[in-house]
Amino acid sequence: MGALANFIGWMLAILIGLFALVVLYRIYTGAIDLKYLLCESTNTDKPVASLARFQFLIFTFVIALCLFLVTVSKGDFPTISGSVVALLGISGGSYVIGKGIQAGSDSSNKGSN
Amino acid sequence: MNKNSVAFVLGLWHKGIAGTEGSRGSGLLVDCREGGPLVGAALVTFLRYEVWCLMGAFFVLIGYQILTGRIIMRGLLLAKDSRGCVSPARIQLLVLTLTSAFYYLVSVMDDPNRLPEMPRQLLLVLGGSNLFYVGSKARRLLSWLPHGEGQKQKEGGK
Repeated sequence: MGALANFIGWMLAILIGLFALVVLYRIYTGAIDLKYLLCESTNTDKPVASLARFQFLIFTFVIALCLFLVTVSKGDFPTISGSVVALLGISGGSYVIGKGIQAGSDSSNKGSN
Repeated sequence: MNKNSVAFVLGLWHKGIAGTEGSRGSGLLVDCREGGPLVGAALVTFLRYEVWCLMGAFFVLIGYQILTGRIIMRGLLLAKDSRGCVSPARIQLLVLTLTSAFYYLVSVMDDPNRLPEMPRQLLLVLGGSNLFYVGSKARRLLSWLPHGEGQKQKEGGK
């Protein structure tokens, strides 16, 4: 049983690692284009970056890194505290509301043109 | 339970974990209760390095693309109105975001055994800052709406 679990574990670790490497390689070569990752709307001639998206990106990175750090350090999946959820909630809520406002302004612009 | 094997599996990331945590320190993938570990220590070590490398590469790649301009950062601090000047609402949100993120990262570095609580005051300030930013965006939209509605009415009249 232990040998089978070990074998499956190695296979999964290698497979997921390879998938991740392919994704990273394609991001590096530009096959996966992240040019508009932070842009609000790509319909315009000059798309501009959105601060809400940037905030969401930063908090996601920081919390993912912290979660991994704690998991490795403790050897156990940590309890997600309420403040972490609140942090992501504030950031995500701001992003969603910003997107709604942007959609509203886009539609009102189209209506006026 | 063999504490030495647990300490080896978890690595020497934080000395003394295995001794103080007891059975809780046995980890997610390693079950030492019956007949030794479910998966090998080598696999756990491999996974740890794999995730570190992949996450590191991902962060570096995104950071590099942001710094070199491949990910568009143009207009991050500019108001999206006709004037297009620097928006104070955006500056304060950016500063607070970076401050909160840095504070949280440093808190975890200080005590990597748990996810720390954010101070309530900082959460409130961050929430207020986001509200201010969203409010300024909404105000811009509301200032456009009557113009658009007026034009629609004019077009309807014709």
